[in-house]
Amino acid sequence: MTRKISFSQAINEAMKLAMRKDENVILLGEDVAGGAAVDHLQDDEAWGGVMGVTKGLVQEFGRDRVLDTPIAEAGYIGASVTAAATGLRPIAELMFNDFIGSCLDEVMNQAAKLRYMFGGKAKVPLTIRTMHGAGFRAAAQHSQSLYALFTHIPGLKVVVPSTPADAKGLLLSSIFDDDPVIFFEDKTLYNMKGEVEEGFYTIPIGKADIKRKGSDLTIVAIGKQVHTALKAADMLVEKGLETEVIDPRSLSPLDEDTILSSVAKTGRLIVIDEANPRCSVATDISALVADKGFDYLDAPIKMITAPHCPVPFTPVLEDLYLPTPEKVLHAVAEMIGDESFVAV
Amino acid sequence: MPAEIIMPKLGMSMEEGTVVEWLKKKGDPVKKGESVVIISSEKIENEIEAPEDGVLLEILAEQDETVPVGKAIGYIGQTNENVERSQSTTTIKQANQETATSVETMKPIEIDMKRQKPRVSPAARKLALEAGIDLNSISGSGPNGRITRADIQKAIQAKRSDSGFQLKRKPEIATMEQKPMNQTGVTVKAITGMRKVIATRMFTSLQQSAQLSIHMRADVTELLEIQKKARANLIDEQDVKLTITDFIAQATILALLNHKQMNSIYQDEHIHIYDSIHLGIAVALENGLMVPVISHAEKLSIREISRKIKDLSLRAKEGKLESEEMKGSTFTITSLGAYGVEFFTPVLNPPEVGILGVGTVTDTPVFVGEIVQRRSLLPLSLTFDHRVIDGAPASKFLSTIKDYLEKPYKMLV
Repeated sequence: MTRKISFSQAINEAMKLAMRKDENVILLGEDVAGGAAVDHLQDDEAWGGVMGVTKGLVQEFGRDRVLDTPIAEAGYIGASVTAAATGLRPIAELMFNDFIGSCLDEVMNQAAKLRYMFGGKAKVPLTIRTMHGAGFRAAAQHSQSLYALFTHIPGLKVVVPSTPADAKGLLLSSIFDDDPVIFFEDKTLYNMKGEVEEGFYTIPIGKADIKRKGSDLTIVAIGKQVHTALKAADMLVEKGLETEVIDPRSLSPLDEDTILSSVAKTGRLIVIDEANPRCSVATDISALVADKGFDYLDAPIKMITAPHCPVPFTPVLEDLYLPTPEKVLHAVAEMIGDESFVAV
Repeated sequence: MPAEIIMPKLGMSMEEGTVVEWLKKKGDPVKKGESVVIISSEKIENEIEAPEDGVLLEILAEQDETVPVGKAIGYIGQTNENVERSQSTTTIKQANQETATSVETMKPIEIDMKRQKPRVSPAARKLALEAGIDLNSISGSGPNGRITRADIQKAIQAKRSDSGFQLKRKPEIATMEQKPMNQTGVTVKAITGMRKVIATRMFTSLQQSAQLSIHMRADVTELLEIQKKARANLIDEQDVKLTITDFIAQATILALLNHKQMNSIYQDEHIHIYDSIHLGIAVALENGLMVPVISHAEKLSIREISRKIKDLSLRAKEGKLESEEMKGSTFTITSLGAYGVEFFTPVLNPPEVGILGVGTVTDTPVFVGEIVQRRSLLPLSLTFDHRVIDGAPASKFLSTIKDYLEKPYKMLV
């Protein structure tokens, strides 16, 4: 049975199901319960995270398993790594991915390395949920998309879902994965609704999803940009082009086969990634196709990304910063040399 | 061949240099070892010497222009070596450079080569390679004229709709099209109209059949006497002037009736043998040729044939033939006798399997028994399609024509 629920409800449901399934699953982060040790708060008055994503969990699982932490990322992320290495399955909420600077050593040098450095005897079944994405008027320190940082580090898995159904299945896979997973949630998607299966199910990490079939052009889009790609695909139908939209869903591991076989079919690739353009997932996927799929290409690869600058606070500039379907059409016009594709 | 003045590498870290000043102007004479240009890297200025005697033919990098190390900045050569000439030597150099070991000197050349090649997408290049399509024969539809996969797919389709034989030949034609160097006074005409039809039909004919020609001489001494008498006696009655061609046509028609397989066409892997003879007569025109057809020639008397030939060739020359009158021939006669040619190898008029070439009558001393006589010999050339006819039956057919021409009374029976 499916029903329409929001992206944040799907994530909440996944955590609930995981915590019911395995008592080793705990949740910790800033405000995930909604006010640590504030006893006068009634049950449903607890915040449940800054966006309400963890709402209701403290009521069901109690304060032993849903822990409000101090505003000290190095502290609770470090605690999560240790808890994971010693037998729990923690879900740590790093409120904004922009805060990784405060706890990068715990993630990069501890969580990612322990299994390798202990010859496989240690494992770190940790999931770090974190918000990313621009378009929320949250300025330069709360709007970045830093998944490329983690994709660069071996030992970490990186998941970026684009729909409620994917978010639920992938989060359950992440929680029960024995390796550390960085799970990205675009804050502007939280209210997006979609059909989601009831009950427990998983979606394998490392398997891309073809969100739309097409024969003339492949768009690989990350996270929220999948929806930009789908809108552009609708517009391109009017121009006689059938676009295949691929959602990698996880950036590490990356489903290279699905991307390459799509480009083999269409001969053209656009990558949409709202992160900054240098050393990014967009450049990584482009390099993959240029390297392993060179003979498939019938046009230069185009990347639609943010400019190489911080996310602006002024709404006008923030809107310009993000990829749009119109930018996709411009890229297609360049690829096929047909100016009529450019929306006027 | 002009010599290049190269941007030299003046230090370990130097990757590019700037032209400070040309000491010579374009066209100035220079001596080997004489300074022609001052260049600078970040640290030093240097005078560059002429690599050989000559004149400064060309300046490629102007003052203040910065170019990579190893790239030519000018040419020195002889006065008669113009710019065009030096460009062509660049092409020769490019070819030579492919095997050169010095990476530095190759650098600028590689850039030039890229410019000359057509832009091709990787997918298109791979597909073209697999399908044996010559990229130079395709114009690209992509941005900046880039050849795309769709362009190659189109070319493959075009190739399929052609015959297999023609396709494999195409690259060879492309190489034939290279123009000779230093050629002036060329008139280039588009191939249109009748020339195009002839070009296509003759090329197809030679590509798509197995042609060979055999030759014989027919002694037409008697025939010529009969022809003269007939001409003298029949002329007043019906305005008929029988020519030797009329008799050759008649002999051919009779021979075809005896050797039906020569009166056939080869089409769609089948041989179609016809009862009726539709005889094509090649007529030379000022700028081409036409082959009007005498249909049901086996039903006509020699007089009617004579009239028909005259009428058709006259109207062919005036351009007044109906298109129906040029279709459906089953065998063709062509003659170069009027131009003094004896034997030749006529090209089949497809889809026919035979064509008779008629040469010029030549008076020749011939043994008749033990006595040498002056005889008039007619050279005959028969081209046939060996896919349909073998050498022996073709020879028998030609012998039959010869027999009719040598014993004209047989044509009456």
